[in-house]
Formats: sequence, C-alpha cells, structure tokens
Amino acid sequence: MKKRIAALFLVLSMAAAMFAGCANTSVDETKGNTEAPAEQTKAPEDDQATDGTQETEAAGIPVDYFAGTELTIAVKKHNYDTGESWGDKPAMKAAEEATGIKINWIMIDSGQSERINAMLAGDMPDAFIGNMIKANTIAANMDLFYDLSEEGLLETYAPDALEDIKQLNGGLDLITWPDGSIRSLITNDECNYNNDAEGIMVINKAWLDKLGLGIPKTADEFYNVLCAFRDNDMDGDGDPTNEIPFNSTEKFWAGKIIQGANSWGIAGYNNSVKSHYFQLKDGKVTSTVDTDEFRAYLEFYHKLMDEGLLNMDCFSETNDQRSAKLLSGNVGVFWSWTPQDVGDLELAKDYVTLPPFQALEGVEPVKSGTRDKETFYNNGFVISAECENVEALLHWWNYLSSSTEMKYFVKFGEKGTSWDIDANGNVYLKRPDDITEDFTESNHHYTYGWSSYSPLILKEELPVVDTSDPYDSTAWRTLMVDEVYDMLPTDTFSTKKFVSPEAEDEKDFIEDELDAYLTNFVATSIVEGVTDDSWNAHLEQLKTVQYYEWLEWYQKYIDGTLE
Amino acid sequence: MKMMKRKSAVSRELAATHRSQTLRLIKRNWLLYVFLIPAVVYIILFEYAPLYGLQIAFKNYSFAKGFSGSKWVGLKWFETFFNTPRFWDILKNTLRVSVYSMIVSFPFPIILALCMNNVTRTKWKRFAQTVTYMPHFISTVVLVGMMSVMFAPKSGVINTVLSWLGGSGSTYFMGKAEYFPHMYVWSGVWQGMGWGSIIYMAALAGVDPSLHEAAMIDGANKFQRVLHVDLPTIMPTVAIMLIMNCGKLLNVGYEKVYLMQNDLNMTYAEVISTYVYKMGLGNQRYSYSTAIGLFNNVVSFIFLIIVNKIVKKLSGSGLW
Amino acid sequence: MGKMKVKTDRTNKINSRSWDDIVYTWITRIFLIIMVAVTLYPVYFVVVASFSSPMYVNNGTFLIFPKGFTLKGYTEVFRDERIWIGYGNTILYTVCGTIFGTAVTLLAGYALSRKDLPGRSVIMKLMVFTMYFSGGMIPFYLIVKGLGLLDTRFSMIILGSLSVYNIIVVRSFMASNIPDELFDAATIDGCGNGRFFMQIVVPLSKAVIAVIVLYIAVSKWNSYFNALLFLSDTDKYPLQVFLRQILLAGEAMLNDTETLLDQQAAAELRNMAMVVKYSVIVVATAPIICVYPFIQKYFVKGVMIGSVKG
Repeated sequence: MKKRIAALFLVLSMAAAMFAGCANTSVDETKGNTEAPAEQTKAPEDDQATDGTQETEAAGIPVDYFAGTELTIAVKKHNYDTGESWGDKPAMKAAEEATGIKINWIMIDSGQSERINAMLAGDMPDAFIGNMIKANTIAANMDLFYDLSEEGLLETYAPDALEDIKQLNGGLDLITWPDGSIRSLITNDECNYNNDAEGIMVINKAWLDKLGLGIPKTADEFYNVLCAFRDNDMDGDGDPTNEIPFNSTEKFWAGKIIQGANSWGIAGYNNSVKSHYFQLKDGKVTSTVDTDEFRAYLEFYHKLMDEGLLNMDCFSETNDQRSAKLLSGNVGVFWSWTPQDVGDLELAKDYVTLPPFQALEGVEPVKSGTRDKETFYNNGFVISAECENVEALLHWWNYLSSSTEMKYFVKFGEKGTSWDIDANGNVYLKRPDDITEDFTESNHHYTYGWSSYSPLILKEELPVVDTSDPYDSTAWRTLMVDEVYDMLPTDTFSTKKFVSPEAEDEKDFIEDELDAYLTNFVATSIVEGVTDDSWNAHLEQLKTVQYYEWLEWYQKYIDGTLE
Repeated sequence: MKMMKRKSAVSRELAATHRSQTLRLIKRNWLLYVFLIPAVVYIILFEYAPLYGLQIAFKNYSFAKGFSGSKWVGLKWFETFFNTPRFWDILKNTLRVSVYSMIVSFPFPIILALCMNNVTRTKWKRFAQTVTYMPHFISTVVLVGMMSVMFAPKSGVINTVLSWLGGSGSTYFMGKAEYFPHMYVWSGVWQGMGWGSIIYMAALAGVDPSLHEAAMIDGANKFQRVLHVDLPTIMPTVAIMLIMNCGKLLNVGYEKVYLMQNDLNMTYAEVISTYVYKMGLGNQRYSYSTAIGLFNNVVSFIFLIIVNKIVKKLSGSGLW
Repeated sequence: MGKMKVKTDRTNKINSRSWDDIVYTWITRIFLIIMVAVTLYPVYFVVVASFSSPMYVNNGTFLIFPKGFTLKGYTEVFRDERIWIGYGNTILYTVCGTIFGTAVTLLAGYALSRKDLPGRSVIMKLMVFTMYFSGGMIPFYLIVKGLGLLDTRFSMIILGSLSVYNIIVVRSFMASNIPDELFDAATIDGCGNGRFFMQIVVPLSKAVIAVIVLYIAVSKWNSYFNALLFLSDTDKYPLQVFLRQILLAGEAMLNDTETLLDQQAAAELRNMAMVVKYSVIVVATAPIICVYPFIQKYFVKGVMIGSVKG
C-alpha cells in the first residue's frame, strides 16, 4: 500500500519535474514556485532568508523553498572523522538554516560494507554520500536509484552542480549510463597534481655523496650504485652486511615492482599492476607483457635479486615490515609517496627523487601515472528511487555546490580555519590552530568537513600549493612530481566511464585469470629468472588466459564501442 | 489371500503397537519436547527462515529486483565456476590444504589433552593449559603479520636460529609456493591445539577412577591405562569431533589464506573461499558467490553423511 | 607399535613396569614442555611487542628482550573514552548471551541425547543441515529487521548465542556419560524428566557445561559482525567494534583507493595501526583469558559417574 502511494507520488513528481523542465527556458520565479511538488513545503514568499542568499537564485527557486522537508542520508564515516554525526559539521548547520531542509544522517563506519548491502536490499535511505555505492552496484541495480536524466530536473534544481559537471573533460558522459540514464552526481576534486605520478622511486643521496656517486641515469649505473650500497658500510654502524640496497614491497600500494618496467618503456596508467599490461599509443591499445623489453626488465630484476641487491621477501613483506626497515635507515632505494614514508623527517631529507633510468638504447624511460589523473568520484552522490522529494534533495545539494567558497566550506569546514582565500581569489590551505599530536590536519578536515566526499571541485578551483618550504609534505610531493612529470604517458583515457554489467562481467572474468597468471609469472621470473623455455611457455600461456581478448576489450572501452 | 490378509493384519498390529509405544514415549517425554522449543524456535527463525536466500544461486540476483523478482538462470553460475580455467587448480589447492590440516590438526589436541591429563602437579597443568590456549585469541591479521616477521629471510627468528644450526638462514618461508600448505597448516595447529584440547579435557574428567584402579591391579602401566581406559572414554567425543572436522572438507576459511597470499605462492594459495571473496563478494556478485557456496556445502554435506555412516558403524556413535 | 611393546612388557616384573611409567611420563613431559614453549614464545612476543617500538618488532631486531619501550599503543587505544562503553556493552552481551545460550543449549542437548525420544534423529538431521546451508546475510538482515530487532541490545544478546555445534557437543557428551539405566532407575523412584535433568544431569555434566560456557562466552566476546550489521547507535557498540575500527583504520586504508588521495591521512593511520595492533590484542583478550582458570576447576578427574555409581 505504502509502496503504491510512493509510486504514485513518484509519477506525479516526475511529471511535475518534467513540466518544470519543459518550461525551463522561460521559467520565472513564480512559475517555479507553483509547480514544485513538495507537499511539506511552507509558503516560501514571505521569508527573509530569500534575500540573504544569492547563489541558488539562478534557477529561480528561493533557497528555502523546500523548508520543512526531512530527508535521510547515509554517509560514510571516515576513520579520521572524530565527530558523532555529519549534522554537527558547520556547513551542514548552515545549510539547514538556509534551506530549512532537515537531514537525518545515518553514519556508516568503514567495515560496515555489509550494512550497505543490507540497506540496498530493503532499507533504503533517500541518498548515499561518500561513494559507498560502487559503479557495478549501480549497474546491476539501476532501478534502485533515481534517474536524474529526466529533462529539466538537474537544470531546475541543481543548476550549479550540473554546470560544474559540464566543465569536466567528458562532461555529462561521465555520469551517463549506456542506456542514457543518470544515477549519480560527481564528488571530490577533478584532479590532483600530486596523484598524477603514483609511486616515485627515491634514493639515499647521503649515501651517494659518501661514495662520490651521482644519481644513476642508466641501468648499469643503477646496478653499480646498488652494488656499492651492498658492499660498503653505508650507515656507518660497523656492519657492512645490514644495508638493503633496494627495498621493494608488493603490498605497499604505490610500490609495485612492475613499475620497474618504466625504465624499459612500459608504464601503467595508475599504480595497479594490471594497468601495466597494456599501453595506449596514439589511441591504440598495445600489448606489453609479451615484448622483449618486458623480458629484459624481468631479467634485470632477477639479477638484482640474485645478487642480493633487492630484498628477497619483497613479495610477502608487510607494510609494517616496510616501515620498520625504512625507519632503521638501512635502505638505499625504495618506492615512496614522499620520503616521509620513512617516518622520520631528518632521515627523510637524505632521500631524493630517482626518475626512471634508461635501460635500453633507444627506449625512452617512462613513468607510470596519468596527467591530470581523475580523482573525482562519479558515483559520489546517489539518490534512491524511493526518495519522495528528489527535488528538495537536489536543491540542497545545489546549495552546497553553489560556489567555490561554499564547496570549500563543505569540504574543510569554516573559512579561515584550515583554508582561506588569498588576494587573487585563490583558495589555499593553512594549518588549523587546534592541531595537536592526537588531532591531526586530516582529523580536522574530516571532522569539520567532508574532505574527499565533498561536492565536485574543478581544476581551477584547486588550492594553490606553497612550495616555499620544500619539506612541507604537500610541497615535497609536488616538487617530486615535477621531476618525473614529463615522463608520464601523454596518451590518456578516462577510466571512469560506466559500462554495462554484462561488459563488466566479461572483463572481470578474463582479468581475474589474467592477473592471477601474470602476477605469479612476474614474481616467479624475478625470483627464479627467465629462460627461453619459460618465456616461450609464457607467450603460449598468454593466449590461454585470453590476454589478447582482454586487450581488445580495452580497445573497445577506450573507443566507446563496448556492447 | 487369507495369508496375505493375516500378514497385513499382523504388520498392522505391529505397526499399531509400535505406534502406541511411540505415543507412550512421547507422552512420557513430553517435557523433553518443551526443552527443545527454545532451540528449535531460534533455529527456525534465524537459520531456516533466511534459507529462501539460497534460491539466488539459480538466479541473477540484484537488490533492485529482490529475491523473488530476479530472473532464473538455471545452473549458469555453477557452469561459470566449473568452466573457470583455474577451477581444478583451486579445487586441488582447497583439498590439499583442508585434508592436510584435517590429518595434522586433528590428533594434536587429543595428544595434548592426554599428556596434560597425565600431569599430577596442578599448578603446572593449569599453566600449561592456559598458555596453550592463548594463541586462540590472537587475531588472524596479527598472526600472519607475526609469521611474516618471524619467518622473514635473514632477519626473522626462525632463520636466525636456522643459521645458528648451520642452515643458510635465507629460506623464504612465506614466499615459496610449496611451503604454503605447511605454513598454513602448522600455524593452524599452533593456534588451535590448546583450544581444541579443552573439549577432550572435559571428556577426560568423565573417566571413572575405579577403572584406573582396576587396571592398576591388573598390572597395567600408565601408557596401557591411557590406551585402555582414557582413550575409550573419550572415544565418543573423538568420533563426533572427527565427523564434524571432516564436514569442513571444502570450507577453508578465507581470511588467513587471503592474508598469507602473495604473488609467488598464488599457485598453491588460491582456494575456493578466497576466490569467492575476490570474484563474488568483492564485486557484489551475490548469485555467483551463493552458487559456489552452495556447491561447497553440498559436497561437504555429502561427505559428512558418508563419514558419519562409517564412524557410526565403527564406533557406535554418530551425529544421528 | 607402542602396543606391541606394551604387550611384551606386561609379562615383565613390577620394577620394569615402573620403568615404563617413567619413560612414558618423561615423554609426555617433554612433549608438553615443547608445546608450551612453542606457544609461549609468540604469546610473549605479542605482549612484549605491545610495549615496544614497532620498528624493532617488525625488523625482527628483538628476539627476547623488549626494545624501545613505549606506551603509545595503549594510550592510543584508551584515547577514546568510548572504549569503556564498549567494555560495558561487551560484558553485558557476553554475560547475558552466555546465560541464555548455555541454558538453551543444555536443554536441547539433553533432550536430544535421550535415545527414547521419538523423532530425535530427524531433529538432529535438520539441525546439522543448518550448519551447512544458510540463506546468506541479506535474508538474515531482513528477518532481524522484520522482527524489529534492528539496533537493539536484545539482538546482540540473542544472536549468535546458540550454535548447533555446541548442541551436538552437549548431546554426545551426555549420551555417553549419562547411562540410560540412570534415568530408568530414577523413574522408578518417581523422578520425572524435569527433576532428573535438574538434580542429576546438570550436576553430572559440570565439565561439559564449563566447556559450553567457555565456547559461548569467547565467541560472544569476540563477535563483531552482527554488531556491524545491526547496530547504528554507537552507544550500543561492543568493544570489538571499537577495536576493529582502530585496527582497520590503517590497514583498510591501504586498499581503499578513495583514501589514497589523502596520503597524509593514510601515512598517519598506518603508523598508528602499527603501534596499536599488538596492544589491541592485549586489551581485548586479557579479560576473557582470566575466565579460563574458573573453567579449569571443572576439569578435575573423577567427579562424574564414579561418584554416582557408588
């Protein structure tokens, strides 16, 4: 019974929204008012708040038009959020005051993913924020989520948010499903320079100086440096055997050993291992793991391991072990985000960036990563199909997305605390006053704001980085990325396009086999070496695990011709 | 005709007396049914009622369509699983680990309990019990983390000790694929031995001291008494434990294996449960993971029934 | 093999028999000492690691003596006062759940142990069936929701308190330790099922009751899954959920692509998780380990049938 009423209501509201959409071009304020379907709405005209806020006036809907509406939103409570409820965040209070829309927050802790599934199965809130609903969940359950592609809906109720999405490279296509529907809105930063280059190799400059060596530029030089690290008592503790020339940790997300192939001209578009299995050259997907360069890479790394230059347990080492090794100061070379990974600032200053060295004559070294890597989430904000007041929800979302200042208010809390705007109108981050050892900057961001769950922030709105202190972690990272930026692949593609569940399944089942085989092949080859026999067997095996079909799939994905 | 009639009359009579006897027993033991009510209600509510969820193994389940609304796909998911190129490898790995661990980890708690039972100094006995039981509480994440540290080539305790004993000290225990089953099983023995022995300790408390006295008068030594007095007493418990252990044939828990996996040992370390975790649950393919789970459990359940029958024949006690 | 040796020995003289005993005693003793040593070291490692700098722990630098003493792991765990709420809740759920679970398990186990109970084999089969087949998480959630048990303390007490495994343990224990004649004799004395259970079965089954109490208490103490699924109110969270949050904070982040954007956060969490890992175990298990000695009391030899038969 209830469901039927809800359905009826839905149809009505959809009709109304459509009507509003048709009339959009010529819509004026009064018209918008009379059409909007919310029953709970108070009379909007006589409210002073209307005058006070300018941002949402664009579409002609007064900011408090939906005052009195109550909505339930499930959000992901980040581990760094020390607050009880999202309702306590200053931007949420401000939004409630301005729009009059009351939100009941359901906090989902990390580790409660089963809870999300249970909610999807029969306990839907009005919306989810925090990319809790994966793209493939949406794909398999389209009807659970409200289709926002209805004409005029976004234009009328979320014009600012829509405008931002249109600014992206790819625009509305990024949230449009193959069937033309739109089931989500975009959150977080469009891109983030620091993410472009993934894990970057660093080398102990203090040790190099001690030996009188320079930054290695070729494979031979690299090899010689490592040998010198191994054979000398670099840390000066009287024991020449405890140095680890090169420490790699497969379990460290940005330290995958496959990135070593960068020197042989093979780069992935992100830090995942499988992204290294193909390369995009002039729009064509080409194979990598069956090339001679790839074999040369494996042989070189085998040599490193065989001669004790690469830590033997790199494939099983835990992150804890990695951190402990780095902190002990015995490591010459490692993959890092910044050298601060070693956990000690003074020690970290010993390390400098080591860009991929050249290994073969005529093969330019490259660096895994993507220029302007997409860091937004196109599944960040989804609305339930059962939501009875989609318009109010969109209106509220639009309020939060209405200006750069507002977005940062939502993202990081009150202006002037952890962020501010400089004389040029640029946003910059600053260290909040309430930071203690137990309450870090990230705690601050997540407690007072949404941080990475915030409404879409475009590239030009990103905070400016102040590199005057090179040892500030953001500046440090930025300077490191600068050093390898030119080596990043120029041929890029969007990894966030939605595909149909069938196509996704097809790829996943191949990929599972392929990945299981290849990761094992790479590991075994590095530990035990490559012979002609094992290499030929490998080339055969690639066909069995449907490597070439997989490449084709990606070609189609990039061309947009997937069925 | 007559004969047949008489025969049927007799059998009817027999059935009748049987029925009346059953009725009499039911009447006499009505209270026992009352005893069963809470457990049965619980099991019906929380075990049987959700069983309708199993149908999704034969459907293409989605949240949006719900259990009844999702489309039937027959045996599609089972076929998908059996046609996976790695299917036989995964099955082999699962059986290797589970049979190995069944054989090794089953007797240890029994031996431990028998040994402890032999200890006369209460303080030492309690200490030994408490210590051996503690590893049960170490979480899997930490257990695997500790193994990684202790078995690390060169720096780990084990390799350090091995190098003192003249070994190379750089054996890669966590990486070599062939070592995986041993690492998995023996760490399991280590963790579960004390905990598993508790039930046998309790069973040993039921040993009749007069039997020991009688055996001593007969001139039996300690070991003989363990064999002929202690062991027979705990035999029913052993039998039940054996049956229940065998029933876990294909159910190798995913967490520990998953944490122990790495690129090198994958050829030995991919088992059904980790595959389900990655392919099914990780990507929210509920139908697929339910189908694999169902396959798993049907095989295990059949195996349980067989083992139960054999054990019942041999020892007289079974699950039913 | 041992048996053969024993058989030949049987004909020998008394002093050779005591020689056997000495050998046997020493073999068991050595076996026990090895087992204790093998289990004690890692347990010791956990405790010491919880006070040591994680660098030394993960480097393998410390073998026996703690290095780099720190209390950071503990201050981190107890930083959040909600942990005390967690302790309170866990104790409540464990105590109530154990009482409920033990009572129901004993009643059912006893009833099923009686060979003169018509239909017991069918009931057993139906129970064992549920050990293998379950409908999955979603139907379970929907049923709990349908019963109005979402976000209630009651659900935390009830759910997971009963397991067929425990019923089977009790049943087989009682079936082999409480002879049928005992009940027949008792009925002649005019003792019904209820009185027999209370006055004879329960006192005779102390050892298995102790085991069941331990099994249920430990599983309740360690459980978190139901809490994660059914509770939204943090005031009702058990200890394990809080501890899991602290623990997972660092670990999960590493695999969670979304947070990779926030490297600073990830690095901080990672360092924190490293310190906290071992202290969490100590904090979580110390109380429940203390329960064990109370249970051990009931494993004393010969309190059972012998005393009744006499």
